[in-house]
Amino acid sequence: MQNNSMTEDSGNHMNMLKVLTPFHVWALGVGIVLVGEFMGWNFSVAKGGAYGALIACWVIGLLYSCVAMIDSEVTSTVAAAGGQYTQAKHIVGPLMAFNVGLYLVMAYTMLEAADALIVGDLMTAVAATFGHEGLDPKPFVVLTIAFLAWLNYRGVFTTLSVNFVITIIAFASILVLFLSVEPTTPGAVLQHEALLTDLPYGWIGVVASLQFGMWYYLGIEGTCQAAEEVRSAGRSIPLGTMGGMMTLLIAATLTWYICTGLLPWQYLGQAFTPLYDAASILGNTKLQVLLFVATMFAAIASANGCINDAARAWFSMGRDSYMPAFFGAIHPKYRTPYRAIIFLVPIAVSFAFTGLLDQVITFSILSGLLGYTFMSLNVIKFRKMWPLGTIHRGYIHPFHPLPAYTLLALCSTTYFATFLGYGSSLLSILAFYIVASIWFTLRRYKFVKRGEQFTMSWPRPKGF
Amino acid sequence: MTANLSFIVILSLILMSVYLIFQRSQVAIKQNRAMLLNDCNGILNNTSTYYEGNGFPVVKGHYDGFDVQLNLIPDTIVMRKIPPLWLMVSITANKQSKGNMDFIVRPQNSEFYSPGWRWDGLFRSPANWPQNSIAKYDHTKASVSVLDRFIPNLFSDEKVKQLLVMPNSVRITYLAKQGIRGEYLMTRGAVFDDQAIDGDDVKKIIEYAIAIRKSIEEESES
Repeated sequence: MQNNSMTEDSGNHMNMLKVLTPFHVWALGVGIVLVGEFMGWNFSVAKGGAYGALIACWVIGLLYSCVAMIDSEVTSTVAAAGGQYTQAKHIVGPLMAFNVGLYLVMAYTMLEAADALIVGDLMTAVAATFGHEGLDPKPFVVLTIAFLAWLNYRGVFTTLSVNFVITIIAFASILVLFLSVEPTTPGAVLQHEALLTDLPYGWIGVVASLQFGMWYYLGIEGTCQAAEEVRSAGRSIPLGTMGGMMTLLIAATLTWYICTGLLPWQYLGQAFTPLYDAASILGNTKLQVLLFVATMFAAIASANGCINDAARAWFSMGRDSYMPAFFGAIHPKYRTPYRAIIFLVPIAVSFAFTGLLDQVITFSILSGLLGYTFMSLNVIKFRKMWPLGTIHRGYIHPFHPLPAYTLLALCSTTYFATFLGYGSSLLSILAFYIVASIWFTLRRYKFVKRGEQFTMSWPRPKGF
Repeated sequence: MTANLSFIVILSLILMSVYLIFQRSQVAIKQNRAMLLNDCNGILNNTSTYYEGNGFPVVKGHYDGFDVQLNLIPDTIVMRKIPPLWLMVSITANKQSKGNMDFIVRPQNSEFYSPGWRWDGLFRSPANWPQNSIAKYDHTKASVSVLDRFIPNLFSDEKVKQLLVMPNSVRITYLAKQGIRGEYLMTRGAVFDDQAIDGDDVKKIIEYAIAIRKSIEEESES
């Protein structure tokens, strides 16, 4: 056999351009974070009023723009998937990677718990509509998590078609609801003039609302993923993420516009299912059914994705010996990380059983926020260790270090915002990560094979 | 009462529609998967094909005096990565050899198809081998001098992911396809286009694997 035949053809193999279609751009935005429009964002209204929530939406949009720029550079340079987790392994070290892995697992597991809570709450609400007051939501919570965990246990193949359909229905329902409220005729259905008030708690309320403003976008950085071959990453990753953000901004603004025109801010700020409630108040049964189905579908689709991502992050930590290797096994038939999937089920259920949606969401948001804080420090270290020109970068984000410092400042402000409303949650989750880090250092670090952690063929970092 | 009834009817219709769409797409996906190796049937002699539960074909046959197996594995394990479809080209040894080696490029420690995860032996790849890689062995290393003749050229094709040398086999893992990006981002699903895998590509990989196996066995004899 002629060995060089392999080389001649390799040029053709490299022509695997992965072109982003408008469908892809749309998918980027709605596929991961759509559930944020159906619940959770409205808690920011309780903190800062309707206008405060809108300001939070746009300010946190800036935070996520920084996340998108920074993550695009690092992800397109570290030619491996896994997002911040892989970046931490390569740029900082095992302790940081352990923490980042844990942030991801917790953020997704808490989101999964919040989704299950929504399903339970919806079932209770519908039962009440039919005259069965006081239906216990807990069986529905367990059923949702157990069913989705089973689907994930069996493999993604089983779930993808259903997920696709339900995501489309969920997105379409927002558009249908928007068109139903006669948006071009203010005052006909929407009552913004009567319902919109000044900032009820002043500007400190706006700062406090930043925390739940993150709910509009949490998880969008998940689009900064890699292919096995990443030649086109420099173009597709930043374009895809920014495209997704624009889609989300539009969807978030539509949702805000509908809900604040139909519901008083005092009610909206504590509602579990704001879009469903908005449809209910219109007195249109068809719309109510549509929004019930859409909210249910969005929550289920989101929970399904969360189980998928959290289990894979946990699996990776098992493979890297950050967690017991027991979790690094895959199912011999279904080829899924089945032990990680099963292990995370009781954790999600126990948080969902608290029934405290805002607390569960706060835990998810804080885990995400810790990841973004790491990202800002990480990119500064990354540029110092491997300055421009020393390694190939798929994408170079502009104005460095301005985005990193902006991100750090916005993260710090959001910690303060969380402290204002959920100080004990903030302190307890920080304590959790500190205790986990001590455990890792004392009990797990000795198992980590450091020689296998860094696999990039980069030159020795500057200063080492 | 009418509202209750219409609610139940509409909900039932939606659920039934979702189920029907799901069933239809399951059938379509399985049909699509079943023909992925159709272009490879003429390459091997005495071929036999069977289908795994997920619809992917496994083709067995003979080539140049060796037993060959082709199978496909979708990789949905890594978080935030477009799922690759790996083609495993496995050659069964005619004569046992000594040592083993698992060489993987762009490793992420999530390569579930690799036995090297549990192996303790780690050696530094020679300078002319791909450097973003990991090379592992268990107890006894396979002949590096033999592999050195093949690895640089073999891995110059970036679709080649892994070379696994065992006492009784050689296996090359090859990137046959990558999942559709939009499908993955929206649904986390591994959906691949419906084009059959190019037979010429597969033939080259088979010939490479057999050439490596032959060289290893020749060296074991000498």
